[in-house]
Amino acid sequence: MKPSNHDEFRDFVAMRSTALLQLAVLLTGGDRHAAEDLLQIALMKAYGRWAHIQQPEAYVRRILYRQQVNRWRLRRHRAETTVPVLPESDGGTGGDSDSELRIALWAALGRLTKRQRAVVVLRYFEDLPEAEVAALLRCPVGTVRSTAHRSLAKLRVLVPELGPEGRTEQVRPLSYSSKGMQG
Amino acid sequence: MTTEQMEDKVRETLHSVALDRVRAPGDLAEQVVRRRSRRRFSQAAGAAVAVAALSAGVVFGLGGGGAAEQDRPVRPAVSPQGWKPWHSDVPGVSERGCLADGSSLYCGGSDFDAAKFDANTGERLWTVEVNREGDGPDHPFAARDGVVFAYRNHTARNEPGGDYMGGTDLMALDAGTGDVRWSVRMPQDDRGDQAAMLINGAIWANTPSLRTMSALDPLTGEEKWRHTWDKGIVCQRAVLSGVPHLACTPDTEKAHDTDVFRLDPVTGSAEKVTTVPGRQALIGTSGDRMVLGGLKADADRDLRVTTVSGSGKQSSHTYRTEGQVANRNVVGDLLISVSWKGEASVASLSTGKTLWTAPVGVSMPDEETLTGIAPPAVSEERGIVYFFSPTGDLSGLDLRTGERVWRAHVDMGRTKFRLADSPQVLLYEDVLVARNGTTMVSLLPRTGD
Repeated sequence: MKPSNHDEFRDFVAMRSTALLQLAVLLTGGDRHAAEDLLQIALMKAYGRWAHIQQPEAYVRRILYRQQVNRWRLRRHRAETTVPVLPESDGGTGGDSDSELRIALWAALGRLTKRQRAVVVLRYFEDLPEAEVAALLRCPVGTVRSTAHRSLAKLRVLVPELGPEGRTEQVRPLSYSSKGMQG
Repeated sequence: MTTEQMEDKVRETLHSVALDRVRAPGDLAEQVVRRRSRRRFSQAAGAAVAVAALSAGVVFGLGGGGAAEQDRPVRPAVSPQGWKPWHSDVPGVSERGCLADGSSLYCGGSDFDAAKFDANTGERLWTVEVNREGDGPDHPFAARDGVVFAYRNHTARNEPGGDYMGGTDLMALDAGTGDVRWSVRMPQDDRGDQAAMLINGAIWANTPSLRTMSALDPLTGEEKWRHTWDKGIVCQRAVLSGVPHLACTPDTEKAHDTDVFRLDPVTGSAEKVTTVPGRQALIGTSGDRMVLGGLKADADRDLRVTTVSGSGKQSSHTYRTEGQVANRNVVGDLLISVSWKGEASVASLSTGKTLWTAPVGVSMPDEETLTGIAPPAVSEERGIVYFFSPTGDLSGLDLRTGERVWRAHVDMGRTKFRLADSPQVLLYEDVLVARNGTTMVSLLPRTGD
């Protein structure tokens, strides 16, 4: 690699690595160690092709998504997992059920498969339309749709407080209060 | 909660994660550069294809690679008795890859840790369901004396707190029925080429600890002996003519020399046979020779290949790597490489000479893809090396000259959600089985008629 490319790469990493690591944290369900590993792999690939990459950030993000759903078995022993990143509480309202629900939901997101989590992050964090998700993951749009549907269904099972699909719609709108979910 | 509300809640949750506390390390760029340097070392040495080398080397021999073998002409393909072309596309049974053993194929997929197929017809004979999910690249990796060896999740259960308990078991299956004869827990989720291998009279597995290799009775799983190495040392594992060997080096940033040990297959006692200068990556085996690779510091495109015999005799040659290597295989005396630019080359391990370089004859996948091209497969009987691209292209090159003697394109079906796939081309006598994801195609490459 030319020295100028190397410098460009260093500058890019310095500027964008925190944002990319944050994305990786979401993709790995909050496992900081796995997220760093994932980002390092993506950056390694980018480094190798730096001279040919027009849009480094888009390139690295694409690799992050694809790599995450394509990773070899890297599950670690429980003893080696790092403390997961948690959702922010609403601040000072200990026991707030909305916060508790988010924490439960975040934990449940961590238990989706890598493929499901990637689709969920792309759809609901990056807010990408299904077609773009499909293009990024190189799969049919129908697969994205069904994966998202199955992911939500799994989250409902893992977090019973979310209630069954459509239940509240038939009764009355769902609302959350500091005393818990109101159905 | 409606689907829309649910989506909003997921969106809200993802955006509420305390990401502002996540900061990338200040020296990340340097970490990446260092790691890539180590990885290039490993890739150039082709460690990732060690198992392919092991299996192909054992099955197809090519030992010695002498002139007579090099001069052998391509002979016409012969159809095995009872074989007919077949095609299979069943989700869940083969995405993780397959092992060819005689007229049987043993595959792993997202739904089954093992599935046996009749290589003549493609008929599925038995299956072993996954524990929870099958999402890795591992598949049944060895078969001998009516026993098939594969990996599976240790359990499908969660811990009381809800987290997945995880873990990997090595399991021995009855080849006739698919029944699990025995299983043993592995210390980590490494299901790679060197996690377990067949040796004389045993299956040699990385259990019960990370730094231990144990010889297990293939029929009962009973431990015969174990060998443990010191902390701070990493050991790669290879089997030379049924005898277990270790190539060990300190696990440090700075590269140290590599010590090669021979282990007695009956007692497990270790004997140092030689020291190879520098950090070496195991490329594969060639008969009773271990093939190691290291990069020259002054020109990292040059691959320094050292073969070490069971007696410790070393022989080294340097090979020029033109462009990044997409896949590499050791078959007998031959080092077969394919570059991402679509160039195949064959070199002799004995002489260090490049025998030929030629277009690989298949369209190469984009280098950015994570699947790549299948490891080249060699038919010693026919004197052909086969290449298979996940696009469905197949080619056969004359092993003596590099001349293309056959090419075909097979329909690998619609692209499905199969990002974890790694394509394979397997040989059942003269017949090829090309596999990518859920799709398997068995065909006879007619050449030389």
